[in-house]
Amino acid sequence: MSHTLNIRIADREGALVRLIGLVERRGYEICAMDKSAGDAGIADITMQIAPRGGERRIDVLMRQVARLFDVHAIRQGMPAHIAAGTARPGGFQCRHPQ
Amino acid sequence: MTALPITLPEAETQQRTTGAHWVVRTLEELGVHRIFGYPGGAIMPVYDALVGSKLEHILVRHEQAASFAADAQARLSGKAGVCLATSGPGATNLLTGIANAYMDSVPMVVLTGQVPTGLMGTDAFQEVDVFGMSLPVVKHSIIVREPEEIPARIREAFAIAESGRPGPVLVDLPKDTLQAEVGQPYPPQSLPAAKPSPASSSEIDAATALLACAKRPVFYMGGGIGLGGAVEAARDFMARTGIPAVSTLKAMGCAHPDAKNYLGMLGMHGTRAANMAVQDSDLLICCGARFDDRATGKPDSFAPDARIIHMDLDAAEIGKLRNVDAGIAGDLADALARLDPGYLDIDPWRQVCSQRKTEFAFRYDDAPGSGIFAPALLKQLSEAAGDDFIAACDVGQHQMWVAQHCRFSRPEHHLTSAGLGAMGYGLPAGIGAAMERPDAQVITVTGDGSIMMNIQELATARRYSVPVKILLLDNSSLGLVRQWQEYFFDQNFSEIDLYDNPDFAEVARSFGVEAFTIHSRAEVPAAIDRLLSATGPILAHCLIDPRENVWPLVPPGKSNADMMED
Ligand SMILES: Cc1ncc(C[n+]2csc(CCOP(=O)(O)OP(=O)(O)O)c2C)c(N)n1
Repeated sequence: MSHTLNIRIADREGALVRLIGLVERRGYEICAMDKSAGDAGIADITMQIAPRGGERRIDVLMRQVARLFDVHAIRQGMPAHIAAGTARPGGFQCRHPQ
Repeated sequence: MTALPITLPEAETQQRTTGAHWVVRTLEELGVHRIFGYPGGAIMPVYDALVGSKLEHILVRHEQAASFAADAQARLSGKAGVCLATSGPGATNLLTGIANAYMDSVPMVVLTGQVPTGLMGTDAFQEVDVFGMSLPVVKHSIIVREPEEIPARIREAFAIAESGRPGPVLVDLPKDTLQAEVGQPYPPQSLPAAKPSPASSSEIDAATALLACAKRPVFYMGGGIGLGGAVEAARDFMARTGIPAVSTLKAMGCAHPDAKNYLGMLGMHGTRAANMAVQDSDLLICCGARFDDRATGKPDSFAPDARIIHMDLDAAEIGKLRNVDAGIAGDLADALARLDPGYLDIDPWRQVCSQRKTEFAFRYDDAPGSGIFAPALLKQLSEAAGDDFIAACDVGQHQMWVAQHCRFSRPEHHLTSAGLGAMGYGLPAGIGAAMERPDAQVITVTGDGSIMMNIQELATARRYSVPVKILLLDNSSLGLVRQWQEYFFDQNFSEIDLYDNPDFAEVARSFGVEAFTIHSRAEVPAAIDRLLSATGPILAHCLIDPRENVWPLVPPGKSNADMMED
């Protein structure tokens, strides 16, 4: 079962790799991802993720993400520009969508 | 730090203010009085600025020891410990200590030198991406690229390390940032960190309702109680409700050792009374613990009939490994004070628990032969040292014996590498602890395997005349591994024999540390006396029976109900 997460982060050095590392380490595969940098050092990340192997609780992962200092907000769901298939340049799709 | 008495040619007096000066100034401003470190190329500007500063710098002999000593100081003081190392190998040597602090939620600020920003990413001499390497084991990390930002970033590092659930924060300092002249006045101090927020009333109400109808509740105490300043609240909760209580390895000392209804440690080497109570419980009130597998045994057979109340300052812990019936996220002292179920009709349950406590209490009178029986020695030592003594343990059988047989009046007095289980912790942690609490009895309890992981720190103990007492329980083997091979690997003993250990007393003496060796039970009382009355540092080398094991034991992958006994 895959989930879509919307995460608003402070767009500073290391923030993205810290976020991706946490998601992977906590047992999820990132199937698709999009980053759009906004104003004032803030970026919005959308990730479609799926648990690797056994089932994991997505609410626990969301709280683990939320406690990162670079993370301002997290919610589940897909923003409009991704749902419409018009992801901005800079996003990538991995080869194993779930 | 005072300069060593080396005569140098008249140096030009330093008038420039550099990033490195601001590193030192910010540490001073934040009230740091002692840092542990080891110099090298990229961090040299900071060492330059240290001369003449108010900071006491402790020169260890391996960076790992700097991180462990800073960790121990932090556990005792509740304030972030600080360690310092150069880039590359200095930084990688710190990683075990960073991971240790992360696993045990210890506030720590780690300062590493880095190659100049222009060389970062080019495989420069002594360049490693310590920011990247440490990502999974830090609470946060920062690379400071502008010298003017140094005060703000270091203050931020302390605030993050010490606030909420504590943890290590790494600050990577490229050499050019440290050497650059700062072109601004030193910025004013920022505001103090916010207090942890209280749990919501609805969460407390839900938990109270569960408590009110429980027949066999157990209070499961974890390290978060000590970290969150909730020891008094936990003791009050125990006294008020009379709920039987157990503790994790990290929570030893949260309950007074003689407290009524306190059953001791749960888990792999826990007491029978504690594990049986948890297994039989119908409600587990987990407070600042995280259902670690060493505590729970096989997770799906852990407390199978229990509903769960899980209280933690860190909301991300709630429900991580066990679904909860009521979650309470917030300040633990506050939550415990508000959790008041009134009269609980659980007398029969209290009786069952206390009967088991008496029935299965540890015995010390049945050890055969005349050799040193380590559990009895530790019990005697702890009683002689008094409940306020501080133990710094290494990892192995001796560590478990300390948890089983010593008495602690406060959780921070039991310094142990619980989450990471890092051999080598004991001696540097003992040094850090004895420096922080020079008037306390600080005893490092170590094994012949573990002490060799940081034995070089005898030099540090000697250099600063640290009053640390070292009890070395020498079984000529990697005892805990041997025990597992004996029971779970068909006695196929593999690479655990340390028959050719050096003469440890001789080694200690060659470092200038007082030392002696004992072999028999009859020598124990005098040895304890000598250890406790020494001004330290001192090492007592005790030869014990290599076949001695830690009991009881829950076999790996088994339920806590399946405890093995000798
Ligand atoms: C750095 C590190 N390496 C390996 C281990 C695995 N390990 C756990 S206990 C132990 C044996 C410890 O031997 P010793 O210090 O002599 O203590 P004893 O068990 O004999 O009391 C080992 C090798 C570890 N915990 N830490």
